[in-house]
Amino acid sequence: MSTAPSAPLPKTRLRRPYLLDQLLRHKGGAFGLAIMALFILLALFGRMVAPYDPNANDYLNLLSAPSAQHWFGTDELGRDTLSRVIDGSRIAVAVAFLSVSIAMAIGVLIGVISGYFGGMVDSVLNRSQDVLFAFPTLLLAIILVAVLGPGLFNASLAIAIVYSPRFARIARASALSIKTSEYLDAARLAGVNTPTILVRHILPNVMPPVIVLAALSMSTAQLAYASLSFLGLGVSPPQADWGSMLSKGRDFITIAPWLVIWPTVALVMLMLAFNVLGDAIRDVLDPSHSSSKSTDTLT
Amino acid sequence: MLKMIVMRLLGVALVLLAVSALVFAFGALIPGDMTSVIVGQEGATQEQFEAVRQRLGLDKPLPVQYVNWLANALQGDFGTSPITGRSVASDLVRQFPVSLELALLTLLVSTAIGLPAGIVAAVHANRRLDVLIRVTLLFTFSVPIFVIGILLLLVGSRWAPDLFHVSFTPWSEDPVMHVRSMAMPLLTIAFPITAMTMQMTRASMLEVLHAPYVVTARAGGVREKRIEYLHALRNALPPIVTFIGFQLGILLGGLIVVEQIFSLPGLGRGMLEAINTRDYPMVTATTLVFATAFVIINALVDLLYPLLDPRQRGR
Amino acid sequence: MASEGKTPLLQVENLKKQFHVRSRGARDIRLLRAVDGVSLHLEAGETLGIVGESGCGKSTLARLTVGLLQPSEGRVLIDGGDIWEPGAAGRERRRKFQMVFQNPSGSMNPRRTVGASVAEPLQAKGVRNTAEAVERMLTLVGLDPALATRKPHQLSGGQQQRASIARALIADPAIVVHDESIASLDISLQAQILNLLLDLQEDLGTSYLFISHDLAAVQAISHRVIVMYLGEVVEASAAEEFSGRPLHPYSVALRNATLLPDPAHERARGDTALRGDVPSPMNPPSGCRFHTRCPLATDLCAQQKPLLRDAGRGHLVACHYAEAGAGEVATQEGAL
Ligand SMILES: Nc1ncnc2c1ncn2[C@@H]1O[C@H](COP(=O)(O)OP(=O)(O)OP(=O)(O)O)[C@@H](O)[C@H]1O
Ligand code: SF4
Ligand SMILES: [Mg+2]
Repeated sequence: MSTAPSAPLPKTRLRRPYLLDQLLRHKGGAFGLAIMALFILLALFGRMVAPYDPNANDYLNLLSAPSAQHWFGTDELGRDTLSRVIDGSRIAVAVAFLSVSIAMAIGVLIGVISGYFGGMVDSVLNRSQDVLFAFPTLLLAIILVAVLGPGLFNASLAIAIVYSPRFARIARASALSIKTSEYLDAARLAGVNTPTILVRHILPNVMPPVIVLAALSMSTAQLAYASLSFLGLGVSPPQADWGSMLSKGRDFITIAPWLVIWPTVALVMLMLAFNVLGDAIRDVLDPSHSSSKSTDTLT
Repeated sequence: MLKMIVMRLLGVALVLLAVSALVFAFGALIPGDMTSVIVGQEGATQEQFEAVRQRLGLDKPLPVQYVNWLANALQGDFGTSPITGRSVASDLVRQFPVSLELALLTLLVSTAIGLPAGIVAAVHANRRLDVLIRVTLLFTFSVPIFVIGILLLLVGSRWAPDLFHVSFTPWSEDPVMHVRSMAMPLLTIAFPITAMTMQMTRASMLEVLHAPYVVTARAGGVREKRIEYLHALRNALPPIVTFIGFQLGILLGGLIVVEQIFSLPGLGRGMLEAINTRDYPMVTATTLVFATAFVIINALVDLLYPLLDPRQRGR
Repeated sequence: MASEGKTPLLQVENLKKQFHVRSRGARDIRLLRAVDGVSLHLEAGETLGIVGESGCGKSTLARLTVGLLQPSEGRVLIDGGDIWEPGAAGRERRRKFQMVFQNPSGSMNPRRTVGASVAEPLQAKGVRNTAEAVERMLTLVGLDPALATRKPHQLSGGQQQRASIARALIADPAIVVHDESIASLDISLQAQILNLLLDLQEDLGTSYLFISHDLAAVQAISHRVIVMYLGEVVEASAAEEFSGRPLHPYSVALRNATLLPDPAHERARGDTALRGDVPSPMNPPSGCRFHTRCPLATDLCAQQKPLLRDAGRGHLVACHYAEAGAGEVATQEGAL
């Protein structure tokens, strides 16, 4: 991501229809939503639109250049690159949502518990996160996949574990400040039990900054998965997957550059969509940030 | 001050201990048993199996295994690879310099280019060229390193095909070939890191350039350029140095990817290969080396920081 | 000081609370005695006022009393039973309290409707249908029941405070602690809310612990008054008796501060006005804690701590020269 490692915590309220409404009004937001929608549709219904079966070999058309028949060309087994790029979007979108959701769930759980209960629990959780931070992120993801085994879910889980401390930190900070708020004292006095307090009072107030972080993490997660997949740690072949397509395509880069061009284009487009959308969500949920940002970036 | 350093070092030692335990746990958790890798799945009798387990100490409880493993590791003995039959340490000794060279060169290049470029960008902040450069740079460090590698390969294979058809050659064999074989990997990994250094330098410089004392100096008539370059840089340096810790994570991850793309026989490629062949001692050893390097360099940056920052020096 | 015969509804015995604080720059952790040996009691249907300057430990005392904080020492008893007794008995006793907080805007969850917040104590008791009770309660505190569907930030400060009071009273608590509950409102609203509290007390028979640094408000609503200084009780008396005859020099100074606009008092204020800042509760002055600021202080005051003693008619005071101070007040009033 960009330079600012510690964005201020957003404080604004979150209402769903309002959020969507504001996003559509935000100029980056509408654009990001549109591309996102396109990718999600491709992910869901891609197999119907795709001109070919993404895994069908065509030995008469090995490594053929883009043509009317195969718009994006074919690979070394004669598989249609366009169909494979479309099919790969399924994996990319799924991993982004899956890993960020898991990271959010783990992080919020840990953050809220350590912020709310404090003391020993907090110290233990903090120290264990420090240990996770002692690994470079990609290295940690790689070794986790090695432990968990390959596959879509395991890769998502590995990425989620790597990114969960960020969610935990932000959730912990909010939980800490909410914990001492008067409405929490009031709830305790009312005799509300601890689980209810956590669910009813802490969680809803912790979520807005967490959602902003989640939105901003989608592109990072997608790219992390692409790297894993490129290194051969993603879903198993023959499933089409941008990272592994690039890895394979590298061998034919001089004779069939389309094999690396199109997956790269798709990857970068999805990344941009996630980024633009993430920024838009942050702007909408945390207006204070956008104003300070505009002085320093593109003017 | 001394007490603080000692405390820090103690903290680092504790983190390293925890890291080693985690790495060992990872190794133990990787599916499958090393015994079966050695003996082979079929055709081995139960006795053979047990004998190998005993020889490797795998029949002992995990904590005992960990202590043995750590004690050996501290003496530089990471065991023997069941796959290659070589001692893991000897492989590490072979791979380490390749990765180290790449990492050092990257830091050198990124600082030599990124720092001055960032200063120039800050001085010309928000002019059209600055904006254009920054959008490009933002892009370079937003995409994963392997994408940059692919793009460079794509461009390079058209314009400088010679550079690509060199396989890694050690310095001792042929210095010229060595330089040529390192050029592309270096370019790939230095690209985003340089962009980051530049971005960070620019941001840090901008902040300092708007600080009261610079404004005062300017009003006092000190020559414009001198203020901007010298005065500001001294004060802008600390945050830039801290940022190295952040870059380092990306650098180490980048090494793994770049070594893989360009088939460099470094630690990263060694680790991936070991993961694929389920070479447990090799996986744990490389992971440990990477994590240790990361922790130690980060600690050094932490310790260095107060020396650079005049405001912190008193403490 | 408890009335003879039956046990009072609420008894606080020698309550102490120390916080461990690390002051800025300092390495060591020091003890901050926020509440240092406070005893008090409260009867059913009674209002006990507690006054004192900012930082004297009023909020801490309130939080200790209702069981939001655990005391370092001492006990809080409801009907003679400890609120920290392990298990259901203690929990049941802690449920007899409600509290109205200092800051109206922070005392309701910003994400829930006002109605949901007001209903919370009832819900926690297991009551299913709370809508009717919420409506009745909001009407009682003078709010439009339609406000129940709003979010707290859509209400004015006064409305928020009334809603907090509605929440505090909805589940029929035995004791409501008001911690500066009206301090943030403007004067006309303060009077309104005070009257409301008095009316409600008449109707519901609730006991109030009314905390404020505003002596006038405390005297207006309380049956009895306690004056706190640096975590300690320095004077305790019936409200009537207290307003006619404040004995402790600190109480006199507080009272004179509230009478400021009167020119005659302005003159009389001269030597009784509070001088200087409140000393830090981290190292309170020796002897009488008030001696650094007391106009009557002597060497004895700096050496020997005055104990809380009965100065007649159940009027308790902790001062070596309380009667002298009172005499001064008497002459001042004679001069009027
Ligand atoms: N949680 C805490 N940790 C450390 N110190 C505390 C804590 N709560 C209160 N204190 C300290 O205890 C002392 C009494 O605080 P308290 O809030 O009870 O005063 P108060 O009389 O309510 O003041 P105010 O009128 O300003 O509300 C203060 O010095 C305060 O700094
Ligand atoms: S004991 Fe002394 S110092 Fe304390 S209030 Fe009385 S006269 Fe003042
Ligand atoms: Mg208070």
